[in-house]
Amino acid sequence: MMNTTKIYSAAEEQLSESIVGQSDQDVISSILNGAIDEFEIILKRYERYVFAIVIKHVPYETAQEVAHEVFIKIYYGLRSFRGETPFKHFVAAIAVRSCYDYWRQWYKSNEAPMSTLTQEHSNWCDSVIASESLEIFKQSQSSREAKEVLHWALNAMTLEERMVLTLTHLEGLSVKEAAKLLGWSAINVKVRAHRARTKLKKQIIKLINIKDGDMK
Amino acid sequence: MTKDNNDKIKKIEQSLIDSFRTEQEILVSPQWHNNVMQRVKALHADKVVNNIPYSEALMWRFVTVSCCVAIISCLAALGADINPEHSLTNLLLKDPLGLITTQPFLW
Repeated sequence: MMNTTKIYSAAEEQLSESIVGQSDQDVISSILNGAIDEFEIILKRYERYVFAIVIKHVPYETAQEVAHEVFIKIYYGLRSFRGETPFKHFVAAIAVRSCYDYWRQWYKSNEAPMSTLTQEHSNWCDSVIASESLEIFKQSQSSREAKEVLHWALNAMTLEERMVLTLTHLEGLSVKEAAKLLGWSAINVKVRAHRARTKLKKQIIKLINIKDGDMK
Repeated sequence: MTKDNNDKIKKIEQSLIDSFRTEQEILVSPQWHNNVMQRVKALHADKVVNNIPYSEALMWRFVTVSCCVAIISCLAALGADINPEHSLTNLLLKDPLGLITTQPFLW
């Protein structure tokens, strides 16, 4: 995965400095009054935050496209933002729901082939089970295989289970927080989270039981 | 499920969770910024062009409906063989008060 740092130009730095004092509410009011260029402030302020959410939920290669849609939805939603909760929460909800929309399209089109497991994944699984030292264990966590196995396990779930599992179990959000982000009831999230976790365990058992030449 | 299996599941599960939480960075090109801003500006421009005041829209709707009612009334009168001169004369002779009250509406 690419590890890069963003290089801001001098003009951008200047702009960032000039926007420090302005509250989100002020910027939103200006945009709604016709100062559309001010949207760049929102874009710069929340760009990293949006990408941090999006990149965890959708494939790396589609993150920019989804983040683009997130900012368009933010623009459309500015009028409905009442300011009762921080703008950051509003942005997070839009970002998560955009990821949900992405997966809905993906499940509907079913164009992309389901990911398959290979000998490498089986080896990764063995190395995790066998790892005794913290060093080896940490290496196995960040490997490409780990991400691919996770993707394989998530693909076996329904759209709703996938989102709930990602938010609650993987990201570590509470049921209440996940429910707020998805706009669902807490009970709905709780039930789906339980089902999704059971499914994840089943997938892991499948992975453990996969023998050489019997890859699914 | 044996204890050994449970341990294996827990280890893999934890490994998957930690892999998910590993920070990833993405290179955002200035082109991406420009594209977002261009699209937002285009949407804003569309909104400004299509932003007709509600009262204006209401007035034009009323005019359209009135014209339609007038045309339908004329066609209905023609179909029923009603002559406006005769009917107005008849009304003046038979019900002068009624005709006066209907004048404002006729005008």
